[in-house]
Amino acid sequence: MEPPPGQATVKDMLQKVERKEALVELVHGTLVEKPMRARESLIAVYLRYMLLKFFEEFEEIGICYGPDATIRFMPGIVRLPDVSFTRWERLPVEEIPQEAVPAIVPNLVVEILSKSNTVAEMERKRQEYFKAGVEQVWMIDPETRTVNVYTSVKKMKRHSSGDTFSGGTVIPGFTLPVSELFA
Amino acid sequence: MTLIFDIIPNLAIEVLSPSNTRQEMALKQKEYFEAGVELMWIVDIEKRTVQVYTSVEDPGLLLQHSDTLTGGDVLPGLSITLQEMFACLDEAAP
Repeated sequence: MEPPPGQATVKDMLQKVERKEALVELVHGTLVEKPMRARESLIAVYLRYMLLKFFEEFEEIGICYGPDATIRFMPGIVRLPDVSFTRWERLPVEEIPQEAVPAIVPNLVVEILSKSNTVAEMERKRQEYFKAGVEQVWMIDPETRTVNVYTSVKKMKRHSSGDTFSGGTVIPGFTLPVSELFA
Repeated sequence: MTLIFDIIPNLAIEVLSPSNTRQEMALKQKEYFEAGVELMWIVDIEKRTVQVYTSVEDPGLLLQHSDTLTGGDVLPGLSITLQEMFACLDEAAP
């Protein structure tokens, strides 16, 4: 993929993403492709819908981006998390960022696993996310129908079908039965 | 391994980005309708408009300001005002 590893810029990434040539993230100058996935998109959108419903009912406490939001977690790292939630307090002017690639650190990041994701890759992502200041990472696995809630790189609580998981301190009061994600 | 759906949606919605060209969107319109899509919306966030297309040749119906987006034959009864749709862009802390 052009440009060569180590030489890609945010502009290169944006162009590919905007033209839908590929879904790419930027990691220290290298464009990394995010696999194309239709089924995972359904889960991401449904989860976001449930979060928005919750906010509408209780309180609009921040922004909930969907799957193709380009977010700069730290200098050199632009990721496209499947769902993310950022409280107003974390935004410079407490309103919707206008830039194409906002430099914000969400409180919550959700990744939906694809068959091509490796354990090492997802651990690396968690390392980046927690280093940047993300408070919780939810990793959803459609194959095993589980939701792993991480509060640090390795500290995790697993929820299976039949369980209900919650937003903890990040989104207090939000709960969702795991099985609904895969219905 | 990728999982790509081999289906033709009834409705396709595209949201414009600064680098999308008119040519590119015209090509999409052609591809979508030739494939069997029945309704296509192109959302322009900058201008806060929606162009509605119902065929390959359709020059598009422009919706703006206080217009309402409806679902035609694809989603009968659907009614979204452009104001409510674009309101999410103006959200801010209370």
